[in-house]
Amino acid sequence: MKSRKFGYQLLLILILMFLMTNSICDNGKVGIPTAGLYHTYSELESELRSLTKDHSSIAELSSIGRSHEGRELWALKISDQVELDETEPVVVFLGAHHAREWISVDVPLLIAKYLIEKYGVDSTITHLIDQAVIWVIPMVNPDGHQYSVLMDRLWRKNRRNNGDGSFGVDLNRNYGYQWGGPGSSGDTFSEIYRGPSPFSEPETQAVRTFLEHQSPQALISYHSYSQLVLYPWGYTSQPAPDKALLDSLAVSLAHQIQSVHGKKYTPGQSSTLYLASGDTTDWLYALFGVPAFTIELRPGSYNPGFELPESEIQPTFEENLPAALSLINWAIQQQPVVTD
Amino acid sequence: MLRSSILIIACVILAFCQSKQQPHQAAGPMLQKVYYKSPEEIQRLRDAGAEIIVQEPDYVVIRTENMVQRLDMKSQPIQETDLVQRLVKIVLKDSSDLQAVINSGIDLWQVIGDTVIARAYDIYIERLRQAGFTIDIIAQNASKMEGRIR
Repeated sequence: MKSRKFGYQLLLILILMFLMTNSICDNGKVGIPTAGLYHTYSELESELRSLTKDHSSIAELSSIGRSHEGRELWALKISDQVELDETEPVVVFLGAHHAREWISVDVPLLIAKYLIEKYGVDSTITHLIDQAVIWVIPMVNPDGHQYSVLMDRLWRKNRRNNGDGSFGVDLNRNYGYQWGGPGSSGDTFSEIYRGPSPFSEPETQAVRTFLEHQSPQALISYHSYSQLVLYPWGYTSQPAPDKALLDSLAVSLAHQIQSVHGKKYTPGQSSTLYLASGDTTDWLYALFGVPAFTIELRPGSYNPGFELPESEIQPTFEENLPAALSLINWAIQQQPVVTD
Repeated sequence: MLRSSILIIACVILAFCQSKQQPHQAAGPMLQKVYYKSPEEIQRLRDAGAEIIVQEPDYVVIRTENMVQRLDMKSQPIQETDLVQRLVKIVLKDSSDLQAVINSGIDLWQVIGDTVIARAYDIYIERLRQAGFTIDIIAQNASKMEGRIR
């Protein structure tokens, strides 16, 4: 009896130790991470589960893979027949390739939430969800994001252990098209370290497999900051074959953003300012030839830079909503009209 | 029965933590934190071919296999916090210089006219200065600027 009691006590201690060491192993800190009104990984996970539970007829949550540290990479599918693989156009919204860009999680999440909650209430939204398949992956880099929340607010990369004392690969330099070109670094400690090979990271591998399977008609990858709407190419200053289309769409998106709160987002080819290789949009455009945009969200300058005040989450979402909706609508318009 | 269960749980916990700390691949020589007492010791490192990635008042970070032992200096593997970056302002001579600045490996924050705001390791600052760029250091540790930039 006595030994059994001792055993239970020991078991309890071990369980507590497990909970603590898990937290220590992850982050070096014990406790529940918080980022104020911004969503942490666990808060995002709860929110996504809750959304899909309450709206299971149009929203489905799945994991497209796992991060280096084993976190699920959550993808939210929004469609009128969510359980089916339909032939409707697919539009994808990605967030948080870069850990410190917290606003890039909340904007796609709020867009998803808006779409789901307005289905059957707002005829425009209902039409979009009836005619398209929308995927939202709000946090491509959950390990880095967690590290940014708990340890280093300005952390950018993922959490690969590079094996030399440094950590992290810049996921937005790790995609396979023109990997290793200008605007990326081979130094493991650099913030723009491209990784040891194209698609070396589980996070970019997961996005690659997902996008290859989905074959989207359009994509937005949210980042911060600078207030820009960028389109391929990024690796070269040469124009993309569809430059005219990409530019007109980017101008339209920027115009719609500005119409909400007056914030100017500058549209342009990604390489206008400088070249950067191995990013998501170059790879997707090279693969499918479809419009792929990087939207650099608020603020406009390094003051406050990555530390956008929480009070700006809602207006940043509001101004980006019409642009996201119009891109979904554009994708629907591209579908050939089927007649008998 | 209970004891063996406890043992199994303990092993699982240890294995779990271990797996999280495993490097996915070796990336050549390790980054080492090398303590120094005088500028002459840094010069000895440079003369031996070391590139100084970070130089703090009492240590430098270099990539090395056995140089430090040969020079009889005290060293240890780095902690992440040893990789200190400066917040810098880089003045461009003309707009075509921006790509060279980006390619150096710096963490670009903003371009304002002919000025770049970035985080940079000392190795990048030194290389860019050697290439003729004017660089002002705004903060010695950019991570400590967090929440105080404005």
